[in-house]
Amino acid sequence: MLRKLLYVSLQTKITGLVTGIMLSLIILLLGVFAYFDIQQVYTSRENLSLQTSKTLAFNPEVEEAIFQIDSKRLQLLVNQYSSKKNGMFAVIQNKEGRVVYHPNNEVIGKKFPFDDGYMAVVFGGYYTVESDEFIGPAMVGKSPVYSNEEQIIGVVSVGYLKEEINKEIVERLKSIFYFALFIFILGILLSFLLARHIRKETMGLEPREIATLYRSRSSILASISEGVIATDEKGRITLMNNSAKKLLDLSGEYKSQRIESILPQFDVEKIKKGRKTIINKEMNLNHRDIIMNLVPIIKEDTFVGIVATLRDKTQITEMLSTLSEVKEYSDNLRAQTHEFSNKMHVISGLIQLGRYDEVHELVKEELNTIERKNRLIFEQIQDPKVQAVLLGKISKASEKKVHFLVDSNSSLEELPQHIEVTHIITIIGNLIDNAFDAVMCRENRNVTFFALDYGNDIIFEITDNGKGLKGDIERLFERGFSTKGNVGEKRGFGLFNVKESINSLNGSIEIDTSEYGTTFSVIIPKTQGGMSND
Amino acid sequence: MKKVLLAMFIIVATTLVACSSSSSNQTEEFPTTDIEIVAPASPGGGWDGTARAMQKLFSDENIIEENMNVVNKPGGGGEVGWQYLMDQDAHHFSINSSLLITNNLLGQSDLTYEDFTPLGILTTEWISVAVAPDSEFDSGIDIMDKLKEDPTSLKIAVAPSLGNNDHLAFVQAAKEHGVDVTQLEFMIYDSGGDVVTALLGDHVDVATMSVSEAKEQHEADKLKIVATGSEEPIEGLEEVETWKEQGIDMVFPHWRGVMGPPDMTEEEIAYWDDRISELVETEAWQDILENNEWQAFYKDSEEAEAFLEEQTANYEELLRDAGLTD
Repeated sequence: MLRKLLYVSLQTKITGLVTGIMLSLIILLLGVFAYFDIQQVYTSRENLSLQTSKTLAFNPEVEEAIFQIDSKRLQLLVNQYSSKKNGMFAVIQNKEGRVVYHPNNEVIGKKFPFDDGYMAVVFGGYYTVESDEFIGPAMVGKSPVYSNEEQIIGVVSVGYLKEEINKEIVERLKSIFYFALFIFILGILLSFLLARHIRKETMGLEPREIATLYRSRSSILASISEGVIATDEKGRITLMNNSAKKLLDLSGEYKSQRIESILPQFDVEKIKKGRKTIINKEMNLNHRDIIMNLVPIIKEDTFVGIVATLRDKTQITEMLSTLSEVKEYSDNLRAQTHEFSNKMHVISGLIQLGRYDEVHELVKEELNTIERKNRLIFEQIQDPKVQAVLLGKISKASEKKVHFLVDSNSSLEELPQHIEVTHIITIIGNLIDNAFDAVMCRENRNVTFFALDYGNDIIFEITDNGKGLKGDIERLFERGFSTKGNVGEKRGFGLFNVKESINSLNGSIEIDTSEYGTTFSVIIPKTQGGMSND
Repeated sequence: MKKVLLAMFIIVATTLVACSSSSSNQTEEFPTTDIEIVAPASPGGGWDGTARAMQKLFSDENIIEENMNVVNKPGGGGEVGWQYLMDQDAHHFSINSSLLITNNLLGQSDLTYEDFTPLGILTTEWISVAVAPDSEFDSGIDIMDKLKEDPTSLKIAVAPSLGNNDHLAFVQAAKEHGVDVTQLEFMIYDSGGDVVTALLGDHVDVATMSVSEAKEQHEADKLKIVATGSEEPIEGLEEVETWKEQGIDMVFPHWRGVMGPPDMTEEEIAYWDDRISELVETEAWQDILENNEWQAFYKDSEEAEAFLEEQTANYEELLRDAGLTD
């Protein structure tokens, strides 16, 4: 029941609460005030009635008039000392209880027993009493009238009708009640405005909806692999998910640190002023390549914070190179098919011409070539991964009319486990492809592959007879640097990826270039994390 | 934290003990000056008599060493004396009686027993009804029968004002007998002496007064006591029947006590409890009771307060109840 009562909109809750508090407060205050007011009015009426009755009782003319039973004179005297306002009345009895003065002439002369007047007539008491003897329920002041001989000869009763007193109290309370009502309505209005303001701040969301949003945001932030950092308008970090901590190598408390302290490259003031968005900016942080997006949060033309997202570049690189290798495989297959169909055309032509001996010769030679090449590869190169790469490149070479040779002095056992196929494809594949490209300008195109794994290191050497490398050799391995001028193609990642892969294997690469050719030598330690031959 | 609290508690406790011991040191010296007894009436009445008896015995019996004076503050049925006491310190006390209660109930005073410090109740005496020696009435019940027939037929003398115990006792007896007391004609005199004079001069037919006031006159045959409001017949007045014996079930004691000004300390109250309880044990006090026709009615300060509260309720009922519902 209570749950259901609490499960209402924020507006209802606030308005209800404020209304409740105000109502109880007003009722309480009004009650207390009314209580004291009623007390005060009654006390003052009691005092007044007693005072007036005393004044009349002590008046010698009243004493005389009672003796003479002169109602007319008493009426004059009563009018002189009391007023009919506010329901005031006076009744005078003589000792016998006979009424000698009463506002209603018909009652004069009748006898009333002394009940409420007992203490006055017998003991000469002056007092007030709640009485309905004469006219109606009233607060009555009683005073005895003494004769010259100190005898009680009558009783003066002066009273206020309760009905009239209550009417007066109601009148007094009415104005206060109206004021309270005004305050109450004002309070409701203000609480309504407050609730509306809060709703606006929370974009119309109920607190429980905000809680749900907050919970789902936390789990979303925790589950994504992108790093997310948010700051307030001064650049203090308000939020950072685990991925961001991992990417930035942070641990511990980050809240209310300035974003500059963890991303020094980053000028909050500039972003604040320029309100510019940085998209896909690549930067190196803690030896990691990170792609960063930076978006200022603008609310109603005011800068309120920044959201930064971070992605690990190496992940992207890996994806990219795998994609390019897959593409290469399909190219190699196509090349093989092409060459195969060429040879079939020659054979078919020779057969048509009836030159069977030549066919025989051709087939024999072809078989020898394949066998020799294969033998070289399969006998000297034991590693299936390298074998696969070389076989593919041989086909490509024959299609490109490149004379691709595996050096007969090569010797390679199976590679250790930690050198993966992607590394081999990236390193050997790229270097051989580059060599093929380099020799395209020559009439006689020679590319030699050499591999050796004596000792602690594995050595690959790819030699071409191209025209050599021009320009800054150091920059060869930078991203986006390419000696090949084909605009529009995504170039320049080949050697960069090679270098990355070699680095990840703790290896090294050396280049020996001249106008007669270039040799790339790759040295990879056999053990993971082992020493390199640098 | 607890240690700090404990330390604070100890400090506060020590301070309190020190304060209370120093104040008790002061009261060991109480009284520091002369003592004044306020008799709220002119010399010669019951209040004055009580005050002077106390003054005499406190010093004669060596109960109190300090000088004691009696001051008379007559007027307003005790009102003047009690108002005076209100502004005095603990070296003053006053005699009181039921007037302290009835004056307030009758709208003649704003003071109640709660405004003072009750120190004790000392005595009671009994109220009697007297007639002239040559009166036609020989017993109280005859008077009541006559009044029942015609309540205005007799004039009754009372002093010093309506609403005192003498008056109340007579009204009470009359009411018990079924007399319409609202029609009774009381004549008010200033003192008991005036009442006796009025009775002898045939200005009134009946008088109501305390036994102590009437007894001597009765023995001198100056007037005739025809009824007493006591439980038992009074010693020396065995021939007079009580109201009870005459068939009216009413006993009406007239008590007197003492009270101090407001806000007396417990030590001061204890001092008076000590001294007064010692006083009422003395032989001399017994003699005084006998001589004045007073009865021993000692209550200490605590009992007195309860007694006054009870009496206030009683008197309120007595004064307000017209008996018309009977």
